Amino acid sequence: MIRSFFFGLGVFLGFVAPQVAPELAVRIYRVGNEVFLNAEVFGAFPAGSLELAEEGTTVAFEIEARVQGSDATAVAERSLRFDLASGTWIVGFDGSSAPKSVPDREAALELSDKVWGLRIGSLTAFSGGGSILVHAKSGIVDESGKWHDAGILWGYAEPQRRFSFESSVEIPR
Amino acid sequence: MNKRLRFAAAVSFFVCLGILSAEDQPEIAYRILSGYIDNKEALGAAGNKIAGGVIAGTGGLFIAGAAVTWFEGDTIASWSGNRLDPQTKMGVAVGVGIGGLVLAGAGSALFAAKPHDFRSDYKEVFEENDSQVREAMSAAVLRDLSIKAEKARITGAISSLLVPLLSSAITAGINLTSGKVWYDGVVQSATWSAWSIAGGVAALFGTTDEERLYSKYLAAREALYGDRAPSN
Repeated sequence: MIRSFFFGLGVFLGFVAPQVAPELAVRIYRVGNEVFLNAEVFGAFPAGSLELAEEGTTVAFEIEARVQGSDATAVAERSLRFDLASGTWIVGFDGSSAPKSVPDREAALELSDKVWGLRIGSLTAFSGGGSILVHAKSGIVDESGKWHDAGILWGYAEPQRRFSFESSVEIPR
Repeated sequence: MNKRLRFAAAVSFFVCLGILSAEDQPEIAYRILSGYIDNKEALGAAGNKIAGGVIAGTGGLFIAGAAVTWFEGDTIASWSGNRLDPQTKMGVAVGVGIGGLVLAGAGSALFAAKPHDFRSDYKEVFEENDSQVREAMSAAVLRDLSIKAEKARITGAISSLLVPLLSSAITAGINLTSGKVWYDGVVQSATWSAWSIAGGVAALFGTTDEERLYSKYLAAREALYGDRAPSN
């Protein structure tokens, strides 16, 4: 009881940050004849992941958007590790574009937990309606660049969200 | 909530206009942080000018007083039929004059002082060339400023609320050690610190500029990345 009270007081005062489940924020929109999404995973790199990253391990998460009833799948990956040699945080983007070096941990977290403008598919695929399932998962990337699922780092079920549209015009701009 | 919806609508409108394209990530945090720094610099410069002017003006008045004492002190004393002692006259004129010169000098220095360069405090952000990294660092700075401001606000509020409690406790303690009834004068001792209670309550439920700016950034981020939905 007393412990709970002081824990609650610590949270209220901002001195204690409890580990919470990762939360997935998604915005789906259309530009021209294309459908895109922006996403953010709050708590993508909790304390356990950060400890691994600080030791030089590349921790990562993946956002997968799947259009129901089609094979179309869009995937974006973000990774994070601390480079002991340079003393900076390295944020990776899908393994394709060049990683970025960030001096500050908070800034690295801000940079690494978002996905901007991921192309899901053509707008015409939604002319008769449809739904998009967006799913986030946690992982570790080894030195060869191979992905290993590591849902245990999140400690909670992997977040996912479904968006349904009656027709393509329902998709916001 | 209405404000948030209006903000989301504004961002969507800018996206439609093409000001924010689908490919280019907007630098919301960087813009908010830049505005905050510009505001701080403008307020700091204006504050220096006002304070410098007031101090230099006070110094000028002191110098004028010293001059009046030196040149017209005898005449003024004669109006009341008295005679001004020459040593007193010299002492007052020199003392007030030197005080005036010091104040005028300090005021002028403050007036002409270069304002604090707030941008140098966050030079890592403002010297960063990569827009994505700059945005992330700006967001981190906004968050840090907000957390510090919140801690300072809540600490101040708790201190303000503790003042009357401590005051009453001390009064009760003194009463007990001096053989009086413990509550004698306790209410009176708390009454004078009503301003402290009011200040504490206001601080507890208020928000600082830094907290408001970070909330503004979060609202913008929500408009761009969607609502948060707990997974569990």
